[in-house]
Amino acid sequence: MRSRYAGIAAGALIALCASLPAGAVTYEIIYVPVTIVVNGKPVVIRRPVVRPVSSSTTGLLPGLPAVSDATWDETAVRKVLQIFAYGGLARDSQVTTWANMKPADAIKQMLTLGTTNNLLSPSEGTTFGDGTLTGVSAFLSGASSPIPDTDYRTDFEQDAYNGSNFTWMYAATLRGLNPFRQKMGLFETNYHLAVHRRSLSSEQLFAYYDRIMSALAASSTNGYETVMTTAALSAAVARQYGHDSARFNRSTGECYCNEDFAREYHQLFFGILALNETDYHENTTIKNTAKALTDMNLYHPGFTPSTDPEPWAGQEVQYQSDQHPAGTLDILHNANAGTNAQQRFLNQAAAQINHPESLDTLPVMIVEVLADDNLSDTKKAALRQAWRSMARKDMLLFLQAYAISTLFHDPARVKYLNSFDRHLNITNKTALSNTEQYAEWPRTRWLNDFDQQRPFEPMHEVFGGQTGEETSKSAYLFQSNYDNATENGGRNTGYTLTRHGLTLTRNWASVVPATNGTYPVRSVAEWLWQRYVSDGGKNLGPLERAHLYALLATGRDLAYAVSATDVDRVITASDLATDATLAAAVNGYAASLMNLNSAVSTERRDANTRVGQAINFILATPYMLAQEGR
Amino acid sequence: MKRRNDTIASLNSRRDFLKRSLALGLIAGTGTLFDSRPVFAAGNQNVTQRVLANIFLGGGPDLRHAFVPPFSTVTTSVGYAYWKNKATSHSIANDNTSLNNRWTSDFFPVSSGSTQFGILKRCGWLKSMWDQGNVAFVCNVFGSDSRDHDQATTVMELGDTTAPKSAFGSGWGGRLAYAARGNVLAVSGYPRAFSYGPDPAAPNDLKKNSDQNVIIASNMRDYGLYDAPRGTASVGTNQRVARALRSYYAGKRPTIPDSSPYARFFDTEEKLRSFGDQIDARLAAFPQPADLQTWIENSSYGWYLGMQLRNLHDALACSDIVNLRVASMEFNGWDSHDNQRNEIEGKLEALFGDGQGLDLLYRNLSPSAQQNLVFVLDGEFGRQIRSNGGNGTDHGEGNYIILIGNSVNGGVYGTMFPQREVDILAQPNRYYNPDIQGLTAIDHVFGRACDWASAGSKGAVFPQFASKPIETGLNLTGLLA
Repeated sequence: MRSRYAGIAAGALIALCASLPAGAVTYEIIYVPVTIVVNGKPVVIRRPVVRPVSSSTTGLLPGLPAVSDATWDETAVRKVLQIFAYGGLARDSQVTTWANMKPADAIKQMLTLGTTNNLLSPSEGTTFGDGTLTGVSAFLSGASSPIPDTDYRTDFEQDAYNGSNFTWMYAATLRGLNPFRQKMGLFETNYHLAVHRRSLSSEQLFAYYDRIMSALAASSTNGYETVMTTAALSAAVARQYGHDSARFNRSTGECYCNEDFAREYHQLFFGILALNETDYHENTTIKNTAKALTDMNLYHPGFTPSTDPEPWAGQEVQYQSDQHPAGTLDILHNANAGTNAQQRFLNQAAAQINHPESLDTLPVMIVEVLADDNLSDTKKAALRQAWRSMARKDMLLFLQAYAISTLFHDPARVKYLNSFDRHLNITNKTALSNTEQYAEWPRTRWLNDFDQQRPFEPMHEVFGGQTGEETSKSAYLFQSNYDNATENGGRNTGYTLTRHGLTLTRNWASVVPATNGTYPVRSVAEWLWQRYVSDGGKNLGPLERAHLYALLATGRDLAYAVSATDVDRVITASDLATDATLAAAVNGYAASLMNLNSAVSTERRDANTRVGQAINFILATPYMLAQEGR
Repeated sequence: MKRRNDTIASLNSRRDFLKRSLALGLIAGTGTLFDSRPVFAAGNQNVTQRVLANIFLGGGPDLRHAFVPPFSTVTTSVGYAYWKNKATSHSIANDNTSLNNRWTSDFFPVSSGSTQFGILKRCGWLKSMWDQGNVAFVCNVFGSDSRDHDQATTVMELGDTTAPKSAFGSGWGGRLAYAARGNVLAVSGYPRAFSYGPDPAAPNDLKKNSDQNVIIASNMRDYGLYDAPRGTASVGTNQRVARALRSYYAGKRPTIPDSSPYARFFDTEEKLRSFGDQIDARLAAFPQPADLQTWIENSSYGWYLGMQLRNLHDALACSDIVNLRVASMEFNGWDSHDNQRNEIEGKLEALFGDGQGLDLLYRNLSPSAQQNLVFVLDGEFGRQIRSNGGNGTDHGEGNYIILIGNSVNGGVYGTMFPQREVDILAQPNRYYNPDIQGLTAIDHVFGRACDWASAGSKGAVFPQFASKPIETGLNLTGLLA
């Protein structure tokens, strides 16, 4: 964190900076969080430190120069977390620590693909099985589940109607797991390599997700194409597209198959349309790919395809040759060899990932879906350069490089948040413990109930889930968000809650930083805005401040707080600048103190309710619905 | 594969839909939506402007499945070639007796000039409309020669046969509404690309668009934002926040430039708040059609298709308020790679059957609404004319465009069953992809419909139509009255 938080020592440090030798190196003041004990209580203060500012903008990949150290601050960190990790669950002190690190070092801690990331999502001491979707499901639905309501536990069972849905949402929002991993899991299984729950058995779906994520985690070593190969050879994709029953008759040369996935393997998985050779693509590549997708027989573990009473629901695949073509198949001008589907797709992967169209399409598609609805041709070229520079395509490295790059932090970048982003960011910012999650206080499920979005039910089926652009243009979803912050605002203004056998009391004082032991309204408002909007206060203007100050200081809306006889008054920023009485009132609200740490229960309740009101106000502003670069 | 699935279609249960229906989509943009005129008499839509309703059948519908040549045992005839090569996608045995039984049992034989063909009996309402001269089949129409869903869809939505897969720009429905100085009502919820009009600053640039003439209406009967009562100081916790937000949006909106990425949200808030009152007042005089509502609640496709039809019914009742000129609908799930008969005949019936979707809407329209409404149905491409190994059909090219309405001069336009198809089906290479050859570009068909909806608009909506191919001898001048 930098100069806006410069404290008492800032002047001395600035003088120190000025006294340092002139030259190429410049210096900045950063504030490192340090815990000290005041009146017997631990208090986090920010200690000023002088450090040289790196002028190097070398990024992790060519084409993606990193932002300067000056740009890499807490807001930059929070923007990355908001886009790539549903806001993350890192503590404020960790965010500060990352902001004070070199971006290339910080990002390697922030975005990882393991099942856990204790910096991004600190554990509360619970181990969620092996951290896979299957493991989390088993843990939350099992005898050791921290959810006391056994009926609610069953909702997390793999076979339950909401099993995959609830388990994924919780995996993305529980402390002790890794929300970035789940974001990437949603991207791969619901957008890029999308399947729909309706078409699959639950065991196929869970296996698909976990194996895709395992392949993705290993792709830094094995190459990103292994993720697509894993998907292409999966039982889930075979069921989704129907080629689990495809057969090739070696005697007649007839293929009892369909071209569905044969086409989408190239188009959706690798971005290859082959528009410059349509006839060849249609009549050779797709035809032969369909032949390659034959004799894939599904079964459950412990059975064989012939002994399994329900092989169609199995998550395992036996790749056989009897009803599969012999010899090579011409696919994308590659002499594809293999005696079964598995061998063929393993052998085909290199030609796919290195195809010129794929090299152009994949990096742009990835960034468009995840982070930027306003990609210019220049930015696309930079992304392609970075992608091409990797001899072995490393998705994680690509995203890390992009997340700290000038492209991501460019002012022209705009990402409209889809319903998943909206709801899960709110959950991760609002739930102060896993227990609140178990009690459904953040109401993550409103993603299902109001926005009608569920993981593994992509809106456009195999073409992917709801996009941010679609979400931003939907008046229905605007209304859903607005009404959830107002009509259903009790989820955030409530002080106590008893649900699923858990009784909770809201305590914002546990996370809102105190100023000399007090909670000035102005500070609380700024902290809340940054926590939820994460724009460094760019859009926290006089009007936003006035409304937030009034709610936090009085529990009333601004017009009512100012005058009970003109409650429908529209107040503008101009009014705030020109109406002295109004300005004085607002300044008074800003300077007042909140009773978040009062010894009186009713005062704490009122203070927490007001924080909830302020949160609801923030949630319903447009600034929660999109993210800009810097 | 299944083509993109609308939000409504993706709902897993009616319970979900009910929750969704608690609210609705409304308006994008800042168009001239408020055209105040006298309120209509209750229960009788007074539609004074022509309205084009486009129903996009996403997934690539095999319309040839429902509108077929008569079976014939003459081996050189189209009636023989068709049935022999499509037997499995009709889920019947490939012998003459079975083929003939299917033809005689399941299709109404009809004719247009010298063309004999059959209409699937499950499309009873369409047959009756055909008998009244209100249905036109325009044959061999194409948008894209790509068999890629996304690219072909983009072409059809934008009305631009040259558009690449990732094209961005105005849709032909939006361009029509702009030319007609009216609005597109997206009754399906999320607006299709079809709906967006040109950028007013560059109306001839197909690569730019604007949402100013788009009205998003996924439920016309539930509008508005949660609010606090006016003039009452002491209200509850949540209503104080609502009141703060009402004041905030009103105070902030004038300061937001159009170029702001947040401008669309300020626009939406304004329209949701102010527009809902007029709609609510109008629809209070228009009860929901009971038969359509029953169908919505009981039909397999009612919640998906029926809600859109009810929204269109309601939009026609409010056509003056919303300045309705174009309606955007969609009915997806036509990607019948396997089990085609089972996959699509239920949908065909839901659309065209007696007592089903369009029939129920039509029954509840006033004479002025019926006279001023034309449906145009299309999909991104047709399908191959030989079944695949999964009792389905794979992606093809040309297809029928179907127009329905009292203003349609019914008949078959173009060659319904070209001899070419017989010839290519006779070729020995069974891996050749035989499809319906695209002969007439969409520009001509859609353009003619645009001219009907708004005289002289064809050139603005399809500026390149003159250079686009059209089937030899085809004259669409009389397609619409």
